Amino acid sequence: MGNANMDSITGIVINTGVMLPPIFMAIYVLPRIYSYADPFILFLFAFLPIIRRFIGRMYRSLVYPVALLIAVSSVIIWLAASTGSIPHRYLILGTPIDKPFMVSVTLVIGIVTLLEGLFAKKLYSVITLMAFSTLTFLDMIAALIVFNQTGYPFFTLYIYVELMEYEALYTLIVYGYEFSLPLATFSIPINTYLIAGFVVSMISIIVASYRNGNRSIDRSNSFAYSILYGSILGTAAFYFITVMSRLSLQFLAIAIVIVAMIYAIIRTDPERKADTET
Amino acid sequence: MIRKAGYLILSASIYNIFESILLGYKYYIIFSIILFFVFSSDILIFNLTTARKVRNVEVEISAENEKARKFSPKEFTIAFLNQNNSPLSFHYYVYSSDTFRMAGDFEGFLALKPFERVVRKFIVTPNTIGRYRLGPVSVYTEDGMRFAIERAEVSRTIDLKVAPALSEIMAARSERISNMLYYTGIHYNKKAGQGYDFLTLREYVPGDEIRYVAWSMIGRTKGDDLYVKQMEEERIMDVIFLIDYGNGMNQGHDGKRMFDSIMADVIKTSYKIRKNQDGVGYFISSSDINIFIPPERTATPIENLQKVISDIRPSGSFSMRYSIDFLRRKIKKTTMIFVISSFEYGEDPVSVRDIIGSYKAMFFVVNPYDFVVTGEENRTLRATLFHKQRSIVDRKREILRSLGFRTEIVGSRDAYRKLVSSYLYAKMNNIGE
Repeated sequence: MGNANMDSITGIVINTGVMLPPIFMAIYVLPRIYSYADPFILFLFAFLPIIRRFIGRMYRSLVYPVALLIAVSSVIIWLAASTGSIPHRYLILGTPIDKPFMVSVTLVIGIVTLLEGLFAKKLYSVITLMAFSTLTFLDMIAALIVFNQTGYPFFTLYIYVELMEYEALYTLIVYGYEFSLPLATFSIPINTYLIAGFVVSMISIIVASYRNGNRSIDRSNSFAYSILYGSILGTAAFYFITVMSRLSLQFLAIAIVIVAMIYAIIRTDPERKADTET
Repeated sequence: MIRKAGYLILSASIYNIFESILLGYKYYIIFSIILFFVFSSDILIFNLTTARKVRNVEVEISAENEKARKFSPKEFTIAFLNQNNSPLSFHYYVYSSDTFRMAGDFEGFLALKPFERVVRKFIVTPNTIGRYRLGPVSVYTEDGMRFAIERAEVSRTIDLKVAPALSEIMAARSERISNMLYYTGIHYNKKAGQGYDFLTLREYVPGDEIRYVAWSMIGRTKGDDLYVKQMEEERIMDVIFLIDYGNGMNQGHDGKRMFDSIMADVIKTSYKIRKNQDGVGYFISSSDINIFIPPERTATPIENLQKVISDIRPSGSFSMRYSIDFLRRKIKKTTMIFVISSFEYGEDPVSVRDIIGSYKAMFFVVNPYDFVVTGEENRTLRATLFHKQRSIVDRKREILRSLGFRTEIVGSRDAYRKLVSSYLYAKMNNIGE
């Protein structure tokens, strides 16, 4: 029992390391955006990942559906009250679909994925949740930077940043390069912290993989080599992509890098070879 | 082979790269790309090194022979030889049947130096009769991050033939104990007729042979009364067990299977019949299996049966019409047929009456309820099954009884008792004559 507890505490500590970039971003973003959000939706969802851990296993899977039902009912009450289907006094129970509501939904996605990532047991869950959380908060940081510079309504700017991303995606696919990148255009105030965060996150991911993996001698060797070669190849790929972006062939470069690596993995699979031989 | 976790992590990394590029945040792009390459390099290096070595492990699984008895532990040896010129660590396990209880090193983790040979031993205790496959040995290894796995099935498979347990068939008891066990109850073996042994006297009736007149008893009670000696003759009955060996008899669960339990009871009954100097034979029948052991008044058919059933398992479907038709061509009309089946097949029972005709047969319907899974967690299942199963089995018995056959419902606990009592009933009523 003691060992299991120790294990789960170590797991949470390592997960915190992995989730450090979104944690830094959350610390920066939350106090600044809180006032633009709908507190009901924010508080309804924000603590669910923690509450889930303290209630029985039987009800654990019901936590999110119940919270969603409450939110949807509240929205329905608002709709019914504002259209006159139910008495107007019930409007106090309703949640309007407006800009604060949308900001809350975005914040909730970031916070819930962040907290779930801290408690996740599987490495791939932690990394996926880290990606979701980081990307949500990065969008918000971009919106916040524009907000500080222009003073337009926060939510409008959030949509603006999202549209910039979609535009970048469109130009990337159609023309092979990105036209407007939100975070390349504006400089991030917590840049230093984020770089440190990414370094710690990378180290934590390696520690988590080592902890998760098999620790016999031959396996540890291959583990060390994979980190070494991975870092070298990764850096080389980054420079390759950077160079290619000057020629407006960034999309092609990323695609080549990823497809080449996946092809190499599939091609070298001994099982595939054995199947072809038979 | 990439595991599910590997696919997920690669997908997450690729998604990360694309999103980071769309956002245009340089440091996050570097982070995502390095992450992707660390994970993919791990799988790539594994594919190029460790994964290739697994197939160079030579594994030899062996035992003294390939015969076993139910409930008797049997030892097996696995020898591993690392034929790589580098160390290799791997997990291994032996594929086995759920009818085997395994103990010892049948699974584990090994780290072998180049060309090192290691021997491991494990014990198999079968709990069901029949032929079961043991092996091959599966060897598998994983990469450092557990995103990929390489598995190889090395070594041959062993077909283990499991004969019935000695404790269940009473064949290995001492003569004194077995005599006591076998000679309890009625063992009437003779009937009035032409023979050499004197049975009783009865009053003379016209037509009796003069040579049997008891001259010394003339006028013993009425003055002129005449008596004849009644002799007795040996009464021999052959019993043939027609045993359904189709899938319908393959019911039950771990350690309690219908065909296994019924076979043990059939063998026990056969020894009892054999002790009574009667002949016993078998016909094991299904669409896949047709084994006929002709009735003999020796122990040979019983021994043959034990060999035969250790090499087969129920399969296919059972046809009463075909089986009886086959037996009619092989046995005498006086032979008593004990038909044992779960009657799980859609054959018209009325036609059985016509096929059997003047042959003698008794039916034993095996009740599947006796073989349903036990344990507290299956209580509801058993309670639900009990009433339904009982009514189905009762209906089967009523149908067969309505056709004029002596029919019993048998289960794991009462099959032996009912088989023996039916045999004695047949003897007492001169059915098999």
